[in-house]
Amino acid sequence: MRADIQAVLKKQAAWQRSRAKRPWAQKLRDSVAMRRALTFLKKHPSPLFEKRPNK
Amino acid sequence: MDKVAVLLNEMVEQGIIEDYAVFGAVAQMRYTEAVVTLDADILVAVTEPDKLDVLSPIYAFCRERGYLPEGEAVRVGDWPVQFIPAFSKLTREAIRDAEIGDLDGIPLRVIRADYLAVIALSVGRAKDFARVLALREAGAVTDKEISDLAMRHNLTSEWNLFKGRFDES
Repeated sequence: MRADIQAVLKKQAAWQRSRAKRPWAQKLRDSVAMRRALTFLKKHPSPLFEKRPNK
Repeated sequence: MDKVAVLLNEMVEQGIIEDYAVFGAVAQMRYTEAVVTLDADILVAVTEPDKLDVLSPIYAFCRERGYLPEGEAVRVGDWPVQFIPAFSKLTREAIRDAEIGDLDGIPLRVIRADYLAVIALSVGRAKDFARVLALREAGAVTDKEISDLAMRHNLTSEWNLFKGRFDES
């Protein structure tokens, strides 16, 4: 694998590990925020993701 | 989640349930990064497991405190909470051996990472396999711990299937 891609993946893995080490209560609050964002996106989809009309 | 923790601890103090432990995605987040989940799953050891409607005292207790049913769950603050009576030797043991997590100073019983992984293996959906992968990647559980526990609960074939699918040869 190319060295620059490997460096990016290493950085990503380190970032993921640091997020995992945050306090449990904080991660649960983040989860609630993500659930709300997902619900909002489902109710108000971006026009980019709406079904294309049949031709 | 602090409201859920207070409610569950009160249930034990007042003898509504014998014991409880958080499992599923909420438990997973103790060990991994945050994930999206619709509800909080709580394993409960009930006082009268042979009763037809074992959850009715729990629902009544919640209702008295203003927490009302919402579909299959009870809404407690930000969280729909699903109460699941311990349904196997594995889940009963998971409650017994649960650890006490800390939620901003409030204790909340949570199943250990090895039990979380082996329960996920026993269920076997794609999202359960993803949970096992996440727990391993976070270093929350070792392969030996999963293997030993899986063997004690006759789930070695599920563990081997998982390893066959996800481990590089």
